[in-house]
Amino acid sequence: MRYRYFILSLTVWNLFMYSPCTIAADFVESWYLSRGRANMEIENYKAAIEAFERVVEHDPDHRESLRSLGIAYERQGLKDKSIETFDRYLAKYDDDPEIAFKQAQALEWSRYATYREKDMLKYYRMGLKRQDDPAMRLRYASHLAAQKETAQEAVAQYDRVLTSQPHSSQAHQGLAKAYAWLGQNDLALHHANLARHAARREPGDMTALRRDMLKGREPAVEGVISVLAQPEKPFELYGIRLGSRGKVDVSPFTTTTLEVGGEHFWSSSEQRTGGYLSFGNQLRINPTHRFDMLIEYHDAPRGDGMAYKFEYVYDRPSISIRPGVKREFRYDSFAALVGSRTTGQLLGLARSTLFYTDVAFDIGSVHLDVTPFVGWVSAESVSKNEQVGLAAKGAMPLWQTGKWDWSGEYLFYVTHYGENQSGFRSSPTEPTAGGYFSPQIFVNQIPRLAASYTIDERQDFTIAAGPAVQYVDESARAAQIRVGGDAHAAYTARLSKPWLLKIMVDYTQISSVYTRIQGNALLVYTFY
Amino acid sequence: MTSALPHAWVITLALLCGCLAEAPSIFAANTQSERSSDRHIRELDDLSALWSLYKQTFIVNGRVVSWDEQGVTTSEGQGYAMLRAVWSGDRLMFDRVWAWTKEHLQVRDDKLFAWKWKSKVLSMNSATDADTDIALALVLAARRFDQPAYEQEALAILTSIWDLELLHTDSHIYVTAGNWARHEDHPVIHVAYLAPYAYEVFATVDGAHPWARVIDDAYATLHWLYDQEHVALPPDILYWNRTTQQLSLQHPTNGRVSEFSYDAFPIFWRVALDAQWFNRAEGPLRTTMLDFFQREWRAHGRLVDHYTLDGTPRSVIEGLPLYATVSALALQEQPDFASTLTQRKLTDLQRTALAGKATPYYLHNWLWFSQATSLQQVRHYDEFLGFLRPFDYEGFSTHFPWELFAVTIALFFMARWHPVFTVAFLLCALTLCVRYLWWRIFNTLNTIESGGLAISLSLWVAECYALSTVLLLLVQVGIGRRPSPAVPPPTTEKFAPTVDVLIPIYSESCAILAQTLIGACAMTYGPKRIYVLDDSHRDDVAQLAGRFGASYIKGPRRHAKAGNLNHALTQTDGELIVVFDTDHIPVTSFLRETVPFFVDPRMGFVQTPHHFYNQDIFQRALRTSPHIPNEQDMFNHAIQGARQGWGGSFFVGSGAVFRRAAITALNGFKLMSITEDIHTSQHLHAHGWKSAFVDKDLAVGLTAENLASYLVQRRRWMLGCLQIFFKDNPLFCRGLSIRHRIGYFASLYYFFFPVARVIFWITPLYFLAFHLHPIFADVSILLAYLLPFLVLVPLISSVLLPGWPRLLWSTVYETTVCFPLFRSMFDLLLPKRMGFKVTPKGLVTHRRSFDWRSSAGLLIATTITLVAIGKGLWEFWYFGIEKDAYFFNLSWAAVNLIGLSAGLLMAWEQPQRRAEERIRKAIPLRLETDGYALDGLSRDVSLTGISLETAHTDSIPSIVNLTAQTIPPFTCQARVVYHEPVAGRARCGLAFVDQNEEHRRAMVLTIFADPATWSAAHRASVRSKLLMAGHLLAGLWRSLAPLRTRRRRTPRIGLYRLVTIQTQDHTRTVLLRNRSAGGIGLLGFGPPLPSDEEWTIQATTGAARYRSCYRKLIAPGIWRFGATSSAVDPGIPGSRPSIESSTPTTI
Repeated sequence: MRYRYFILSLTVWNLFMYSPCTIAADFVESWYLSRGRANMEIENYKAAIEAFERVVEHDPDHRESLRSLGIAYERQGLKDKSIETFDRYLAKYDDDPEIAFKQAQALEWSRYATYREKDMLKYYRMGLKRQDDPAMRLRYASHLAAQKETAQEAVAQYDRVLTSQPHSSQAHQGLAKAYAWLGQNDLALHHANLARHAARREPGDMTALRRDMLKGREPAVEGVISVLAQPEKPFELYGIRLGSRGKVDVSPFTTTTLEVGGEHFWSSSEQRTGGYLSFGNQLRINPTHRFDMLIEYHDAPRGDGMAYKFEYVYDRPSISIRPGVKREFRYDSFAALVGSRTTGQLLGLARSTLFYTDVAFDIGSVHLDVTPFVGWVSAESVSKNEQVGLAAKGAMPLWQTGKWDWSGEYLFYVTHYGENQSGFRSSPTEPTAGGYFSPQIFVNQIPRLAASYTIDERQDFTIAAGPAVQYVDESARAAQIRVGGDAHAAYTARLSKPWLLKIMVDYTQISSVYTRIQGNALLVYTFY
Repeated sequence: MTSALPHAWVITLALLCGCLAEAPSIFAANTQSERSSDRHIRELDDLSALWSLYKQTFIVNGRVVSWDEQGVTTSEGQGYAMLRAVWSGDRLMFDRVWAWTKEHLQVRDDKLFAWKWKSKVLSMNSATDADTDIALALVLAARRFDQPAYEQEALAILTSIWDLELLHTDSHIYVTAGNWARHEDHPVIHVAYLAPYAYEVFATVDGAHPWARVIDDAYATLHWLYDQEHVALPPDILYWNRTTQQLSLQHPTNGRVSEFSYDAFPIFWRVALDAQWFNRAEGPLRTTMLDFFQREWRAHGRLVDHYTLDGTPRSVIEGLPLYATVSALALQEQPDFASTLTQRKLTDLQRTALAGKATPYYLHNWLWFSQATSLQQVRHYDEFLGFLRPFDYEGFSTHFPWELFAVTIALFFMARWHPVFTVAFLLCALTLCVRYLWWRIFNTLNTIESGGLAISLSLWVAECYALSTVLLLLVQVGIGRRPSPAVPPPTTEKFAPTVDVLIPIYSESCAILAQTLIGACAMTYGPKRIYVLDDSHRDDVAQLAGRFGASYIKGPRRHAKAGNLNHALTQTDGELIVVFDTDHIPVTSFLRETVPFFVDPRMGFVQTPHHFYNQDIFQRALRTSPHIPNEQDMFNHAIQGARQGWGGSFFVGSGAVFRRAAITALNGFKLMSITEDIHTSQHLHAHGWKSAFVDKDLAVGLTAENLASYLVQRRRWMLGCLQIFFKDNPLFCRGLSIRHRIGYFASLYYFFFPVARVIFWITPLYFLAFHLHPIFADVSILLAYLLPFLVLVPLISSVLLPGWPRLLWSTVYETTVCFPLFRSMFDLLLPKRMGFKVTPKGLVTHRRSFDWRSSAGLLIATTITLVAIGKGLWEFWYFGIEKDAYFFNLSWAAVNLIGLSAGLLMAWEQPQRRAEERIRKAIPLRLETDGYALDGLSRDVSLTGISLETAHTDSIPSIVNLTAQTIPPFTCQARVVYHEPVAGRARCGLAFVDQNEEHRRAMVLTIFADPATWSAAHRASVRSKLLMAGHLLAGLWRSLAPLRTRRRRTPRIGLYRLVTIQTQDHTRTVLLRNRSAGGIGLLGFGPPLPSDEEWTIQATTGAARYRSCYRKLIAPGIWRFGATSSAVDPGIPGSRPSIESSTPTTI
């Protein structure tokens, strides 16, 4: 019974002693709160700040007051205090995307850029976690895209925006920048173009970016003159080709070339004239992967005038691998370019069809390029001739003196043909010599010294030459070590901004059986 | 004067050009000022950001790390951070820094702080500047964050500073460098450690130590440096030479002299802060301290970080923190120099710091301190009216039209010189007033809160009303010199039109009518007939009229006074008609002065001013001096006089002469309104009749004597005028000139003042009671616009009506009546309640009473105001936010309350013991009785008595024969009512004994009907606004003083000397206060003296016997006694005082 009285007394005591305090505290807090709300409503932020500050003094975790206090500070122009208040608020309540975004945007201010950037990104993430706001995501992504380290994350954010807003100009702009950061210029240009289409007005930085990305992609037309001389008799062949080539990037991911022209070949006994058409296209899936294609049709050779090349390129900074297949004309074959008939048998142009893989990589300062290949050679009137081999090239910069830039090169080539079809010689039944250079084993290695000379800002000249020590194993004869050579010279002159002239001359000597001189001249007009 | 005119025009033209040139900017000031306020807020934000950056960069878990000083932490840095935290209102960081400081640096045996720390305490010595800063920060934090515990911690530190860091010599207290310095052979004093502002704060919290002496010695040290040693710059350190017991620049042992470098930089900021906080009168010293820097800046455009004491540079590196500290000091004495330093150096440095570029810790701090000082953020939180801080003075200053306002005030004082200046003043003043209203309507209306628009718009309308009344006053009185008094055209002797004097009566007493009839009969004009127009149909009125030879006409009892007059018009045929109210006594020259104006055949009527010989309710309630003008004097003289200048004076109900033809042309007095007078005037003017105003007191009457009668009168006037306003508005009255239309409109429009007054009353209560905002504006900005309006509106009135000041009085006049009149306005909707009510007059009361009925509205308003103020004060004190808004509205409501209280004082009516008013008039008098004669000059006189002033302070016999030297002389018996000393002379009041009718008639003629009585009635009126306001305030105070109920018949003379009293049982020394022929006044201490006993009083002049007549305890142990002589007082030969004569007498 006494306990009841005790409890009753205690209750009454508490009621008298503590309730007034509680009620008073609640009343004071609600009074301040109501004043704060009223002053916010009438945009009297100075007074609202006072009121909410008092509530926060009483209850530092008071959600509404902290939030409103930050807003009042902001609207009063006291942005720093607003930021500080929102820091406190968001530290306790991370489920308010509106404030998180507001805070993130406030921290975008350059004043805070140096030391609050991480917080800014954190608040964007905090907000986006609760609310998928494309505008905020765009802002968030734009900050990510500003730095290379976070450009990939920016791409992901932009992609999310694009799923909901496929025509968002800002997203495309951001992606353009991010891809530019990532070195994916095609994608950068692609999105820059999309951004340009989506937006009425292109911002200056995007124009600059697009201009940068377009460098090297300008449409161009070229005038081509090629001359060929294989004076070695009886396989002599001379030729000249006049053509015109156009190059254009239909899309940022493709480069298309189209060349038309005419060519004339002759030997001591024959002549052949025809036209040709060449279509090439490069498809860049991304900077690492691309696909090159070239298809040519030549009218001059009799018979099948098709040549092609299909090549896939895997290109990384450390290694480049390019598997492909190509079909090319073997001019070394050719007494029979235009075809000669002997006893009803047609001899003519040989064509190599090769499957190959070009692997290029660096070892230290030495750049190595190794290309194993396998395929066959076909020509009319002769059976298919299998071929397997390896080509390799090593290059190493040596020294630089003044305008000279020297490097050493080493070329190595080995091939094996299934049948030596080199030795068609003229005979009474076959007055015209035929065949192509196809020894059982051919090893060619050329140490070469290359030099580049810069004449002035507009002209430069390169030359590379070296002796070749060749091993030729002709099945019909004993294998022989022979001496050949290789030389290359090129001259480039930028005549004016759109005009470029390039002249190249190659000389190849294989033993005594094959000499070839080829000259090419290009006059390029680029549509800047 | 001829030469002054062109000058006046030139000056005025220049001023007008200035005004016109400035006008666009004045009205565009809003935009500019917004920018200014924005700039201020932006600067505050920058300051805040600087602190945030500092916190993020230099403070790690409450420890301030000097990254540019190998990551050490100093007590100085902790102190700076604590001060910055307090001044930034950053309680969280303050607690964090203080907690770290306590834990890691307050590790000495005393309460001082180890000065250097890095992972551990590197030096246990203390640094006085840091200890001072930390203690100050704690004191300020206690105030800023309302945490007394901080102050307790500060006090402990202060005790240690006092004991360990101050050097106490025989005559001085020096601030040494640290706890270690006192024990050195030659104690070191760091000049930059002197912080007089801090010592001033310490003095307020630490009563145990005389910190004021430290302030004196700190400044003495600086004076010694600059004035005696003549240094250009202070050294980093000084020495106290124990041998010579003097300060020394040189080390007493090695002779080394410190130079000026980083350690001395802070002294300039510290002196500046002392000036800012406490207005220390050390201006010359501060100027001297700045001299070198100004010279150096002019010469080189930069300050370096190291100089010799004579100012020779010892470095090529700029002293960046020095710019900040010097700028703070320059702000106090050379604002231009401060501005230059800010623009050329500090702004860039701050911008650099905010951009996150590397800024040294020390520079970071001083940039902040300097900027915070200039933005008034550095406070001690004990400022006078500190709760109003931060008052946006910059915003106020930007919005306040300083130049134009100054010019306007100057023109106000020049306005009396020439009308051109008046015009210029009015242009400028009206520009500023319109600017305020313009700003109010476009920037401050409350369109958000429910009902806010109605509240704020009504206030704006009321303010417009206030300005419009001033503008209409301008139309009424015009600009320029006061018009000369109206002069009647010359007349011939033949011009003597017949005059009918009409005296309407309704409920007034016959005694009042009798006096008017005496005056009317005495008017010196031949062809006149007097008519009493009785609407009450009383026989005694008829008899009275008959006694004075006046005709008696029974009124029709329709249409009140106007109906009565119109009825009389049908019964009379005089060419001219004179109208007197029942209580208006004309002087003998009334007709002589007015009739000649009717030589002009178009003259319709001539009005004379109403002059009142009794006090109005305000004069009576406030017991004002006779020099305070009657409430109606301004209208009756100034406004009517000015209107006379353009023929706009109008009939005011009495004391006017009309041409019968004019009245007849209107078919009599107008009946539409209960104020027939102004309405009749309006139509007389509309019919082309002229009016004239003779500004002489030619008829005197009684004004309303109590609040109730005053309200009756004002209600009648208001309702009558509003009737005309709504039914026959003069603006649309055909025949009136434009000025007449506006003039009459102004007179009617004035009676909307109750609406405006009620709005002004209720507006602050909206906020106090309901937190509704009548005005949306910062108080600082509001004041910048409002102050010119508040100041200039009264000044415009003052310029328009020079010599008739009503500063504060008009508030009292209007507040007193506004509530009942406001309520009465609704009677316009209920015409049956608008009956004509005669103003009650001739009242007599013997006691002070409160008129609850008449003051009901005031009481309710006062109660509401008190409740609202109480609520507002409670919220102001208890909640402590929006203090500027509360302060503004509380002040406004308090001013209203004063007005309401003054109104209530009018309701708390003073007794009106005299049935007859006393009129000031000097009449030679002679008092005679058996063997006694006294000559004197009357001070004032009434129909029943007279008072005179005389040098004679001895007693006067109770009954005397009084002879007044009037024409003819007048003799009667008089009884002495009182006889008291006044300023070294004596004043004696006499009451006539056995007064008869003839005697009374003679007195009426002598007093009232004599033009000389009133000829100088206004000559001594108070003409100064401030004096008038002073009289009002004094009157308010006086009205609360208890009434003097009794007066003495024998003057008492102050003595103040000790005398000995012998009673039957006691002998006591008491203070003799005063003595008269009949008794004495005493002041005794201790137990009371026995009453009803005879006392023998022993003085140096001899002994006398007295009997106690009263005693009163005036304070514990202090008694006041009165005693009457029981024997011949040797001090007054010939007197034989009696009990009767010595007993205080009621008068």
